[in-house]
Amino acid sequence: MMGHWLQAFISDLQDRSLWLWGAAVLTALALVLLLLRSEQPVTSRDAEELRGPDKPDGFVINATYRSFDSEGRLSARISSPRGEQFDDDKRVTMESPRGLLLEKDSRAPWHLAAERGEYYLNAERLTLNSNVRIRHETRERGEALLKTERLVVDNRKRIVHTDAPVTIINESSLTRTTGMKGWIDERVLELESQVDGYYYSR
Amino acid sequence: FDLDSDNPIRIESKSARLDDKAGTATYTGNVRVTQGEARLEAQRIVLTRKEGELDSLDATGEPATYEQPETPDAPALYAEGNRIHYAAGEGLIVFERNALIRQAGDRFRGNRISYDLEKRVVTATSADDDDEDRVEMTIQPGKNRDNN
Repeated sequence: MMGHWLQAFISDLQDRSLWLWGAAVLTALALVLLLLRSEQPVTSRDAEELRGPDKPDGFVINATYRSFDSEGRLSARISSPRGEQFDDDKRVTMESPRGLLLEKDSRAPWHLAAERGEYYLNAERLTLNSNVRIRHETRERGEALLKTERLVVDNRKRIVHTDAPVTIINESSLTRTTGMKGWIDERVLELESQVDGYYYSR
Repeated sequence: FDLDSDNPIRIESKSARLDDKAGTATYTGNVRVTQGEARLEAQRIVLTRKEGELDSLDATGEPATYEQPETPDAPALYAEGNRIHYAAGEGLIVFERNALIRQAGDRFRGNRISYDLEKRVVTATSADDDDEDRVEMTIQPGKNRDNN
């Protein structure tokens, strides 16, 4: 009796383990399929979106680029929430670039801002576009604000220049011109044409 | 020009050079400075600022000219010179080299003429280094001048 019962139990076990093995294999297969399916499309779509339509060679989130003068002091710093790098011409396109230029002697700061920018790493040249603002402050003359739509900042030659209309505002004057060139360290601006300035008494 | 006036001083020119460290602005090419009706025209004007305020104007031209319209208490004035210097603090305009001032028919000519903007007084002098140089004055006999 006992033997019969035992044999029944063992064969029942064998049946059950076959079944268990079958279920395990099926489950594993389903998992692998799921993984494969979720792996392939999501990675390519996310990557494309992260990389952006211009297909840069690389991109940096919260990018900051610094350059230093011959004495090792910070001379310029440019940052952007997103910089897209293109290796062929060592160019970085920037969203909402914010820049800081420091005058050589007085270390007085020039603060730059724009909606878009393009930075050529080797040449240390930054082109700013759209809603370009330069704020400059000195002890002697207080704050001055310069507004234009296009500006090239050449940090190697330490000059800024544009052919666009420019407006310069400080506490007691407002000047408009078209075309301008500026020497950062000498703090000199040459206004190239159609100069129209107003001086207000305080 | 009246620095206390609410009227801003306007400067127009072909080009300009702003030197922040030196506190100067040099305007070049058909330069015109206006405040209300007063007008200064020249080929080149150097404007100097002190503590952010206009301190002096130095105009040169062939000639540089200055015009001031008639006001309730003063007749219109026309003046010229190869150089015009305006010192804000002193309220004085000085015309040099071929200087000429015309006002209400009166005429002053000399190497150097200064005009006091407040007192409306004209002072003309000849060149120190040129004995031949003379000051010329032509005063129109005015109707309400004293009759003796």
